[in-house]
Amino acid sequence: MEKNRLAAAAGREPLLHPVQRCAAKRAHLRLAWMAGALGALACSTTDTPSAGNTELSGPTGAPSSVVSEPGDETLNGDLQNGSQPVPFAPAPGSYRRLTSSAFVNSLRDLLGGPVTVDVSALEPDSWEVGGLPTVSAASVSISALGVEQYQTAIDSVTSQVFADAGRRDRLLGCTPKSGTDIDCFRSFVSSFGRRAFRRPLTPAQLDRYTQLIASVAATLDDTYEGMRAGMTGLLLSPNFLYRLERGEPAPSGNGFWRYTSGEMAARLSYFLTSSTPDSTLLDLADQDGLQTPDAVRAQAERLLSTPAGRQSIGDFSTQLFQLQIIAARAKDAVLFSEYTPALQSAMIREISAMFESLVFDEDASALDLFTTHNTFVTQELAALYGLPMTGLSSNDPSAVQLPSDGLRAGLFGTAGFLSLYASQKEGSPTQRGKFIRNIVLCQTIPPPPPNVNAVLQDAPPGVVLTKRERLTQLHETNPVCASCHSLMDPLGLTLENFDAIGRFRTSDQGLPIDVSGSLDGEAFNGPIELGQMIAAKPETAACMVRSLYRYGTGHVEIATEAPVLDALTERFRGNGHKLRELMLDLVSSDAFRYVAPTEL
Amino acid sequence: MPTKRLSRRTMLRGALTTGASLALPLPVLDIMLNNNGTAFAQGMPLTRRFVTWFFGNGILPPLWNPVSTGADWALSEELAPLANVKDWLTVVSGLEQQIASGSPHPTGSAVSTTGADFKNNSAVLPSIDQIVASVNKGGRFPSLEVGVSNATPNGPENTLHAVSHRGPSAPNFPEFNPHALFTRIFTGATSPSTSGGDNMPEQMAKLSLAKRSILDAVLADGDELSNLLGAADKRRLADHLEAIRGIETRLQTLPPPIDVNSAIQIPGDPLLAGVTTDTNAEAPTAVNQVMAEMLAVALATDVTRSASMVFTLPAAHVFFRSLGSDMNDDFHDTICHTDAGDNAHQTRVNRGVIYTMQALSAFVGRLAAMPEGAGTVLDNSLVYVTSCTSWGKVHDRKEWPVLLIGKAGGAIQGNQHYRAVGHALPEVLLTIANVFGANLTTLGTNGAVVSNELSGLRRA
Repeated sequence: MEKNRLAAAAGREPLLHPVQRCAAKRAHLRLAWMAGALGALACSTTDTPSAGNTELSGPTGAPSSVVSEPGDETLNGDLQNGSQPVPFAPAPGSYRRLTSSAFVNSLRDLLGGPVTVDVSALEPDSWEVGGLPTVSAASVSISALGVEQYQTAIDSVTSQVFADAGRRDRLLGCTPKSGTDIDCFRSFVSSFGRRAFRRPLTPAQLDRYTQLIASVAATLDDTYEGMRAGMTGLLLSPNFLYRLERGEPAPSGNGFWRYTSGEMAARLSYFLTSSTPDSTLLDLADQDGLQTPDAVRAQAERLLSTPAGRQSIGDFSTQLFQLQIIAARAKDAVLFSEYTPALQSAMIREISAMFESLVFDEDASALDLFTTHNTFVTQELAALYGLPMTGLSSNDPSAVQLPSDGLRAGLFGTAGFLSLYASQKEGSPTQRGKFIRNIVLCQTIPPPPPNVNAVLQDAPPGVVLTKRERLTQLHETNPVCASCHSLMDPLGLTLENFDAIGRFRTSDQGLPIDVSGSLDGEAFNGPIELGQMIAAKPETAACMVRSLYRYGTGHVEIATEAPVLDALTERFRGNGHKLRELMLDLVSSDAFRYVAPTEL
Repeated sequence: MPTKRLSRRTMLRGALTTGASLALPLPVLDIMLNNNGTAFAQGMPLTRRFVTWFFGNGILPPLWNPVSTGADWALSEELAPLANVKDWLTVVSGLEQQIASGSPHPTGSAVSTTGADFKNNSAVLPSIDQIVASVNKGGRFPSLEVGVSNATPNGPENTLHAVSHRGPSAPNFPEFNPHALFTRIFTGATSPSTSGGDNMPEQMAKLSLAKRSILDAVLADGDELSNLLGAADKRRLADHLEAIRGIETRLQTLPPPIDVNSAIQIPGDPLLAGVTTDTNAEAPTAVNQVMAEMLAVALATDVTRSASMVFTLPAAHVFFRSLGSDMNDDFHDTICHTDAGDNAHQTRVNRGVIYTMQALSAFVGRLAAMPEGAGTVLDNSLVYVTSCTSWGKVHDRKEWPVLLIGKAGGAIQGNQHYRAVGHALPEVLLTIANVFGANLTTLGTNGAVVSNELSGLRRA
């Protein structure tokens, strides 16, 4: 194959077709003779897109038009560098419900400040598609309980707002003179409704909610309760709770539709601020001013310079790494008395803060996430890490340096990651390793074969085994297990110095901990080396691009989006893995702005 | 003998100044029944209820299966806690879950509740409680989903987090918060700012009307949107709007009153008794007690006729610490999967299963203690008990745990150990669906469809 010859000429190991890559992995196994017996095993290909091919030096053909020049409506995204040439075509539109965090943030911004919402009392986000709630929100169907929970939550927040006369009056924008002050009702519905629905209301909707206010004001003989009913209704409407991303026919006439400016405003704001569009975006949308890559990019720059924009990086990592589970995860109270809600909260925030700082403060490579010694801790977390606690608060993380000679650095050293991929009592090397494969490298580990016999040899009484010894016995002496567990366990076993809540320990039941391992044939010793190795792998960069792509666009990429993904990955590699640039490139790309027509 | 009869649909209605009215439903009163107490006076059959009662991590088949199948069949060690309801108990042993899977717990959950494997992290078919709910209508809520412990291994599959599914990508997650369940089903959807006093019914009627006005506007928005959506999204929006219509319907009738029948008392708010969500993954007895009581009363007072109770979720990473300090280990990861012993000798697994059956007994015992007509609520109910696996250590698919408790208004024989070797697990679901009048000829998906019922379960 062409690219293999080139690669060989470049002195690099030939890149294999995904199917060959998987077979090669199997051949790698210590028990290679089992590869035949495993033939029935469904071996999923690695999930990386053809972006892996951008390892070669430069495309041999014309650069792909991922970022269109102004006025350039050419959408041919062919890559000429040896990957299968696939013309770009956009993905279909969607009807997506707000995720829990988007819901809470939107209420905060619509209602002029924080509101109290118990997220645990809402329908849980679904994870069924793409490993992200943002993506799954477009396919999952809400339950009857979930709808009632929205009603309870929204009734509560509007009550909170109306209990504060100043806040109420600011939101209403007028003081109703009576229960029949239709002008005030209508003006409120128009202005608040436009923000809640993320576009101006239709005449029918204006009438509907104005009449609702008047009707409830009469029923309850209370004008403000009438207005609260109007606000409540607007927030209970599917026009607020769901985002329709349907598009409209595009003037270029190439068969694609394009997202409307209103839809673009919401796509930008929910990606880059995890919340509803602000007035600048809404005004631009009214003027259909979000139809060119330049306009979109300019708004994205603006949003990313806000605090909410900064936090969007943390929101992305929180969702990708499933950190919100930490809030509900219990640990053995006797073994881990320091595991409190304050510590749990600090665990979640540390990783966001670490990533946000890399991206916005240091303008560093996003892959430094796996190697950095800069982190952000509260008192509780500092105590866990054995760091000095002077000057640290219990509420807000502060910047600290991890010891340069320690084993803790980057994501793999964070208590949040270590605690999440662990049981109530001990860390789980298999779960930690699987996380690295699935989430960091975008590699799928096949599920265990059906009918696997998981019966263990019992250890002789009185014999103490390290985790490594126990797992070796379970996963590696049984050849049916070893084929896949050898991909995961060594990566997690190097983290055995960190227990079920990420506390450092020097021994495992008194026995020394062996932190050596290998990753795809390359040996490492300890978590620091593993982090450096991971950061250097091309799969890691490609995986980060793909994850951000899914998060930002809200869908799993389809085959015809490969040209855009490939080009984004190439630029990401070329500019030093700057995530902020990647976000800007993504939103100005054709894939973010065009949509396949809806079939009714 | 009173000569006047009340219809089951009789409500107490108040004429209120706003013109709105509220209705008060009643439990089944003697005055509504025929002289034998076996049917409604108008000749309609008594209300029947269905419950899926689910527990995770399976059983030890030799200690679960009764030994004999004849009239003298006796409870096994693991089923001994159900002695109080033996007369209503049907043990179905020997069923096989026939779909091999690399993800046995999500598959076991899916097949045991929907008859089909999961796909793309979602159930493919509706679950049995939803099938029954669609033909056994009439309760205040179309169905209720409740749970005791939300301990979970986490994972993307919907069938790990719910045992009730309306269809693909449509899970009904259980309510694990006792206070939230209490508020939802016993206090209705009235505003929390309702004040008491003499004019309370009138005030509640006004609030009800106001809330319905809001929801009317929301429904109108929804109808406009529906025209813009493709088929799949239209169905999702339809689910949402249907739920809103359900709220509107409930807003027109108050929740059941207190103390009409002394054997069926609306329980107090569990929060006042200090019972809250199981946040330590322990499936505590206290949480089971309040959840079982609330669900039993809900079924008895027609709050719903179809429900599911998740004692523990599929593959639950639960810690049965109340059983002793030696049980302080992950029941799934450690106890089921690594404890020494074959399928008759994992002592700690056995203790966990017995504890689970005690929890079940507490629930069905309440149904058996609630009089209804000439019998009890349990006579008119069917509780389907199952798990996500047979022997959990090896994810055995044979000897799947299946219990039916209750006689479904006389349709089920009861007091029977029915041996169903060679039969596929979904056959019991087909049987249940048709007991409740679904009139299905098959159940399942392509490649794994059953058309055979377990007719021996029915009363001859």
